[in-house]
Amino acid sequence: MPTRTQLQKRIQGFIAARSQAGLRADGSAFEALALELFAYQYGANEPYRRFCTALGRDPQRVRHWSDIPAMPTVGFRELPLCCFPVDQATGWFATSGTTGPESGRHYYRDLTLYDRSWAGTFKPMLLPELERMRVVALVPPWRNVPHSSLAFMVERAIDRYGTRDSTWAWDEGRNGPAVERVAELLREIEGRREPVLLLGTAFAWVLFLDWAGQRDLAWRLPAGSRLMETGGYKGRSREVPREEFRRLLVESLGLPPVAIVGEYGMTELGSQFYEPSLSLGQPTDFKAPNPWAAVAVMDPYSGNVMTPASAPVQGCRGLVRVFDLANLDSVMAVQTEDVATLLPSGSFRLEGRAAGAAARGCSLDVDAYAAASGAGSEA
Amino acid sequence: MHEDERGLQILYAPGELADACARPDWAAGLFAEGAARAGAARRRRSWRQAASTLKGVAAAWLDPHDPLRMAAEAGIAQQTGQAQAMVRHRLDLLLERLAAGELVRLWEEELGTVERTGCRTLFAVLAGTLSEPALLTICQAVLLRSFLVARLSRGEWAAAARWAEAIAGSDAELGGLLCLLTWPPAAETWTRQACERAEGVLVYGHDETVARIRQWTPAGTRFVGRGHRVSLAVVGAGLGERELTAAARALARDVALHEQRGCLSPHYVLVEETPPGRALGFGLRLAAALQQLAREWPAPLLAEQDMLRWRAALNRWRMRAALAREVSLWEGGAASGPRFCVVASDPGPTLPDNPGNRFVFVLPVRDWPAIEALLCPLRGRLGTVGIACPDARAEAWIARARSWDPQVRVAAVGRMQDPPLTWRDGGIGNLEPWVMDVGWRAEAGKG
Repeated sequence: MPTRTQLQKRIQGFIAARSQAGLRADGSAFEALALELFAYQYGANEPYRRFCTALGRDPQRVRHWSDIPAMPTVGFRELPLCCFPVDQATGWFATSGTTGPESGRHYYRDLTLYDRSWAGTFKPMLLPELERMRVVALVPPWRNVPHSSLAFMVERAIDRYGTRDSTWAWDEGRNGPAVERVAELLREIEGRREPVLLLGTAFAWVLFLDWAGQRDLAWRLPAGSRLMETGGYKGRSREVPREEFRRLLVESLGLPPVAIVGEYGMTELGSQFYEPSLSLGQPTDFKAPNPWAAVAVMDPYSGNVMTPASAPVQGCRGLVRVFDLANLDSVMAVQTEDVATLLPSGSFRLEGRAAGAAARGCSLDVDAYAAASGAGSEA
Repeated sequence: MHEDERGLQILYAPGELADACARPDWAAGLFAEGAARAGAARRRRSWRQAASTLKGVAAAWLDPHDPLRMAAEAGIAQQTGQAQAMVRHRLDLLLERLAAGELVRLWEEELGTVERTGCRTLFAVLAGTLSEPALLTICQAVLLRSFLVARLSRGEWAAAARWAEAIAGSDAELGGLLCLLTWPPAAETWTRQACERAEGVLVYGHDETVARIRQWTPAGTRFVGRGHRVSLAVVGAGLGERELTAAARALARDVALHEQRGCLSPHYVLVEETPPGRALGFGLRLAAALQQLAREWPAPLLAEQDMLRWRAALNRWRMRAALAREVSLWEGGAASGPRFCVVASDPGPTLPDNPGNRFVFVLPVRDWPAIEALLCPLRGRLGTVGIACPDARAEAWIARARSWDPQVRVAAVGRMQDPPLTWRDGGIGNLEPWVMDVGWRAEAGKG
């Protein structure tokens, strides 16, 4: 069995190769790495091994990546799921506890692979034609929230791809976007005619858009500007249906729909997924496949795991399951409670969350459609 | 059922009532007509005559070959996917009480033996998943000879419509007091207009729905909101092996009936852990009983959103069962995939989230104080407590439960879903709130 160091090196090489190859998949190489990584994690991660044993699975019996037992995300909240002694962790990211009040930890022995992974998709999905760009981030600086995976990624993104005038626009006191500052920055950017990359969570954008709307403020951002939105609302702002949210962004910021990119990530994963709008040159409502993080869905009725290869043309709907090679030191197979339709191409369309209020008796208003939202739980 | 361009669907509306619904000022016309009908019905029918009519209709429906009863049964089964045998049992539970004359007892308990003047017009939002509250609301309105406009659930309305037809078939004047409609929840204007015109408003729904509709109801209008409630069972110490098995079988029926969608459906079973291991044993018995019951009352195929939520909960608890010694899980119910799940687990500080649809938590508890601690967050929201314990201890258990919350309904397991018609849900009467000459606090009513 390969050592951790060997696996890390090979996964890094795989990420680099796939990134350079325009994120084209290499199914057989992924399969081989996934099975080796499973064998490693089975041996090194004691709670995960017990979980696999209870399911009657072990590396000898698992022949395909989609058969690797997937740990529910709640496992990260309830167990130290790592392949090394916790006290050797160099850091951890906190889960936001989307489905409950508890917060969990995703421990990292080092962040090298995480770094390679986020950059491997960030650049081709958000900056396909540029090396650097001015970034305005509606997230807190990492130093203020050292256990936020999103803040870490944004900080690194600014370091790596941002120009010198890149900045954060976050109000620590209000723990929300620094709306006045964002408004000033956008006006300045509008005047200078230099494109900008705006990064933020959906709730931060909604808070800003609501604030701007109350003041009749709108902008027309320079051509080439783009915006990444991620995460759900988590009760931090009003919830806005996706189409309306996008329309508000277009109308308020003067961005073309193609320049708005949705990201899907969560603390439990070391990799992210993006809508390929910029790379395809047209607005999309699905996330593109990530060559080092395969996505399958679990059919809620049968429990069967559907892969892109087994998905019908129209796609299949279920609970998102991610097989993420970047999760080297924890568990690569993660069962989420997000709902998506998986397409044969490996792309998937997020459709909300399965978790939520329990069915309620004779007082259950069956007619009311409680919109499931907040897919992803990146903190 | 026809849906007009405004989204309105008329499920039952005799004669001119349907015409009134079609007019732009529908609420004004409909409630004015209804008030006149109520006035006329009160002059010509006593409450006892109305009770007698309802008793007769119920008695006719106890015949499984009654055409309207058969249509109601088939309608519920089609609309909910529930097993016809279970639907039959559901209806029988209610019909037997109606046919036994419990409505007379209800009137006498709440209003005495004399005639009373009720609201002439009532508007009921019956958005829930079950037919029974709708059937009962219809009975109560007919008993009061009040005109009832009911906005039924779009998911389960067939039984209520057939029931209204049956009443009309027996007494056209009483049947003419009923107008059963439905409209999309987004069509709030309809709800608002009805609230503004009715003399009394009854709402079953999410707590949020109840609060919202209360806001639309004018200050002088009587209002009763029936919001969310949770029910559970307690298995006391001292039961022998045979009694435990019998209790598990009885409880399985309480769980499966209505697919845990009723406020009386048990979601949790608290087992007195003397000796240790009883909860585990009871969980195993309950799972076996649910598996056996799945043959008689197979669980319906859930809507996808419900199934996704159910599966997510199953995934979570499977993981916990795999990793924690104090968690055990049993699942089963169908060859195509699990349709019930029983989890035996040490209780945390709060009761775990339950996705319903035959998902039960069996939690060991040391003693009554431990039960009280668990129930604390449910104060005011507890519906029914089912009890399984030796006869000698039953009184003590009932007294404990009632001292903890006087409004709680206590029933033997197996009877949790069969409340008497005189049951005052949440302490609020069924007829009393709508009777003008009975003192009643308008602010009563939960939700």
